[in-house]
Amino acid sequence: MKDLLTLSPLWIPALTGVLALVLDLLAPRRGPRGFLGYLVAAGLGAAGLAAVVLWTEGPALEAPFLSDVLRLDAYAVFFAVLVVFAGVATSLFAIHHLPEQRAEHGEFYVLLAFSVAGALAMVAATDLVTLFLGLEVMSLAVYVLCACRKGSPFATEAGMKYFVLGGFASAFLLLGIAFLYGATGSLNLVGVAQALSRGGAAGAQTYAGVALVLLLVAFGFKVAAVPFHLWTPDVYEGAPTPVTVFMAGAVKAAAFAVLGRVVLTAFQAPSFASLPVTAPGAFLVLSVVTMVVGNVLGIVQDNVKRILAYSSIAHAGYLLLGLYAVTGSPGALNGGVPFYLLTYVIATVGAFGVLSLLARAGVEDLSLDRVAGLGHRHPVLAALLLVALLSLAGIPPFAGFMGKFYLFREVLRADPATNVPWVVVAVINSLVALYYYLRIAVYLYFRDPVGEPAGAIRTVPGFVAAGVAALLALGIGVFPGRFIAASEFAAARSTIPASLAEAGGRGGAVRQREDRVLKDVRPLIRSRETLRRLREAERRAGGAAP
Amino acid sequence: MTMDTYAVTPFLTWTLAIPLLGAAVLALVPREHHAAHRWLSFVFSVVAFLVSLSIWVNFDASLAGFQLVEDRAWLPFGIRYTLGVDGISLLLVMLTTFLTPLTILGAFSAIQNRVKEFYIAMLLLETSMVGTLVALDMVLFYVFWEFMLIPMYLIIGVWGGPRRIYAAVKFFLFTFVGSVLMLVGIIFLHVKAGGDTFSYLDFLRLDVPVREQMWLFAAFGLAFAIKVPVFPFHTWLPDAHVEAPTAGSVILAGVLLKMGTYGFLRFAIPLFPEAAGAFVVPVMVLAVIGIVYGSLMAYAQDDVKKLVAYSSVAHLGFVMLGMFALTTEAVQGSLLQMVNHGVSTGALFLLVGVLYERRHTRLIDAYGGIARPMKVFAAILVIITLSSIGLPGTNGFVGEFLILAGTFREALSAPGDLGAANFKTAGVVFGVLAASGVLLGAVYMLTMVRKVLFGPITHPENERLRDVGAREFAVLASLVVCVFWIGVFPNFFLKKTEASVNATLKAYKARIVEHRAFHAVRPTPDIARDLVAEGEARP
Repeated sequence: MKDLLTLSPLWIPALTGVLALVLDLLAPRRGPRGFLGYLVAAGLGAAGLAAVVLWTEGPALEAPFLSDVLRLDAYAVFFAVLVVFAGVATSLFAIHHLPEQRAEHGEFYVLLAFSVAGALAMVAATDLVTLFLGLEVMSLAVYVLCACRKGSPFATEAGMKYFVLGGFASAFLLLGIAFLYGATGSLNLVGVAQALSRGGAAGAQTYAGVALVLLLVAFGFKVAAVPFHLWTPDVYEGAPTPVTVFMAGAVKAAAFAVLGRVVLTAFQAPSFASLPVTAPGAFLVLSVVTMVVGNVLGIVQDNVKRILAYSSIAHAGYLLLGLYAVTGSPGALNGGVPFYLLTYVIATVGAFGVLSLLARAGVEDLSLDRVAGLGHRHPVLAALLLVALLSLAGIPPFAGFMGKFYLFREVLRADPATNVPWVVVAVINSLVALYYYLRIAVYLYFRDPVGEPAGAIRTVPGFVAAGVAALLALGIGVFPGRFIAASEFAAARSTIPASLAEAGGRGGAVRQREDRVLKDVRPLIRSRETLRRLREAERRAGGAAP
Repeated sequence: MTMDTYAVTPFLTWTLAIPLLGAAVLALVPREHHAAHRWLSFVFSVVAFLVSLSIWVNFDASLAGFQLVEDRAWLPFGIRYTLGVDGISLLLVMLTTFLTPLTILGAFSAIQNRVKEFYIAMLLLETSMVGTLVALDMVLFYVFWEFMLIPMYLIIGVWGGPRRIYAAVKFFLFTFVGSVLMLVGIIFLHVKAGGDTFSYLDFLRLDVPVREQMWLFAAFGLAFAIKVPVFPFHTWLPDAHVEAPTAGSVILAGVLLKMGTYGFLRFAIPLFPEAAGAFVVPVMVLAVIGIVYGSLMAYAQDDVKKLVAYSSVAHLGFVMLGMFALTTEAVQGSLLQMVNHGVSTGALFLLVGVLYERRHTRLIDAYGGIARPMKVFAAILVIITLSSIGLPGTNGFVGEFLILAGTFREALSAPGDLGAANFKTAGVVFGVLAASGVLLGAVYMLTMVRKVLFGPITHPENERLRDVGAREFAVLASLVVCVFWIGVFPNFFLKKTEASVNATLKAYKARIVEHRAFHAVRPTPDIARDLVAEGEARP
């Protein structure tokens, strides 16, 4: 029973999906389907709540059974909350968007719930096959969601393109897993890591190096890193905008979480550094190329959705820089990458979310000329979009500034001398990005629309979701303390302790690090009860150790 | 530098919070009530000024360090909410809180659409400007510094002239370029300091190698040089000034540009003294180019506002020159000249605004002989012009005199005196060129005054121009009072700055001496060779 409760963030979304499916069948055939949106939002919200409750349980999060396959530790829970946030927002934005676009199908919400379930399984996976299954459940649902506007050639194109290229990426992932299995004889991340650090069979390191490249290709596709980004602008533009919210928010967060965990856990063997392709080198190259290409191409776009698609590519570049800095030396992640993802997901959900509300009467063309003058016509919507854009641009006092600040600080701290040029490249890139964010702002406030202006949908849930995102973008920018502590706490658990798979207990080094983090966050935990439980868990852990 | 007195009453926070509160109150008042927005924002900015007067009163001129310090934990990584004021920032804080209500009052008739948003932007701007000046934590400083751009961007972009969008975006991007590199510099210093502090005072204690200092000075210096603006980075300024509404121009010229010069004096020079010493000559060359080039460009303009904008480039060239002469007189002169420029250029922009509201043109040719219909206007314009060209008895004279005297003294003083290396002969040349800039200033300003005020009236619509009204007179008269007050009793202001300026320069010179001494004891190649030869000669 306790195990079931511990795993609740994983099965609640799946159950919600099944429930929505049944209700969809029972409801009148041509009737409205908005209630399913509320249902899915509530179900996903419950999953998020369960995850938050688990978080407050302290460090002893992992479910005892399935611990070989799934591990709901703080790292997974942190990203689960991000995924769920994007999922709930997607569902709320869709409630009035879909009827307006004449694309209301009950399956939309069903697939959304399944997709979230898949993403959560993926971030909690410690086993490569489970990871692959989670990724496929998530992706397959999104392929269909992209094409759910049946009449629209753009949506069909988006779905097709995403599906074909996504299939390629999955093949790369599978091949990578196969190579890794061949090299190490294990499918478990910890097992892989142990095999690699022991040296393994002849040539194992080389095969593992090939596997690393294949995995980077697959995840590069999911996080939209250059040169695996070609699908991104078309799919983000063609898909219904709530689905874009989900892709840019949840899918990217989940993919980054897994990428960080896989690389940090499995590919940190010291003997690995002699290979021609090392994780930090690959991350650095990907990061710089992604930032530059994303931002430069963002400048020349004329469609707000495409601009934000390129911005989302560029943000993947900054995040890869964060991964580059941590993979340089063995050890866990620092809080920079999770916190940046947190601020990015909030801002991008807010930005695409507002765009999804500008889709009145079937047409969904969001060229700059049509959103021009939004500041006069819909001051509230324009202000919500502006907050999201300023946060994405990294301007204080919004959350995006703290995100960039923290990320760049960690990159510099990792190696002050050699990393300065890369941080300079990143800030120059954020300048280039500022140009296109400002360009949108100029159209919003200073220009008049050309042709028929984009009309706004009247929708309470949509406004609430966009408003919450904007409030968070401001609130986390001004009072980031707790969120930074949470990111650090989660990041310290990004590697799976090696001893777990063997003995079921925590290893000494990991425990020391956890103790240190615990010391940092303890003042932040208010509740006496939580503190007591935390102490107890600590004592028990201490007693178990020799 | 030290923290000398801690605040009993948090006057600095109040000065920051009152305009912010005002903005919040304005946001709640329905947008139709234009008069309410105007008067409320005026009242809030006046209250902020009154509170800042108590900063002035409580400021002890004998202390060199920071006073009225407030220090609270704010964010992780040792980011703190630290405020404090010293002799360098005090005058500028006062200038900000003094100019803002005048600007708000001056904009009553000029701003007719989106009144509510305009005054909210003005009040937010005031908070961020004061915050930039009093922040002693580098992240807090950076947050205020960047946030300053947003209201100014909106003021230019929404209420500006025909090419306002171009000007606003150019302003934003130019100033942002420098700032982000400064952010990298700040984080770099933070990592050097052990990764747990962003305090300005802790950064001062760092011993940064000269090679790194050069890069850091370049990063900080670029941010400040663009803001000042120093010569090759000035191109955003004429655009921004011409397109901005009068209130925007007054704040831009009066306070925002001073953030750049303030940044040099507060951060770039004390944090990286050896690098600053090495950069003295290049910076002075740029400053002198700015003086001469700005003056010549001003002379060539046919638009009054553009003329005043280019004159700002020249005036701030003086400020930069005095600051990098690094003597007490020159630096104090620079500080005073920052205030003077705020007062006189602010007044000039207001006067241009008065003309523009009546005729909707700023071309010099459209006027001529308007001294007859507008007698009070003409008198004020003449006084401000004289102050701007530095006539004795006005504020401009004191500032320019101190800067030139300090520059020459440094250049002509006995050899062996400290200061910048290899500055001796160059300093004299700079002083002479800058002095010629004073002449050029007289040429373009007086020509403009002659063309606008005197001569026959060539345009019949100028015959019956309305003279300044009571509101406009109140704004301009308070600036005229300042012109004479600073001009006749400069010590009233200078004595507040002396201790801090001396301490800053002393710290700077101590670092330079240490640096030189360090390099002096290291054997030069010749000595090393001799030593080796000596060693070989011995059995």
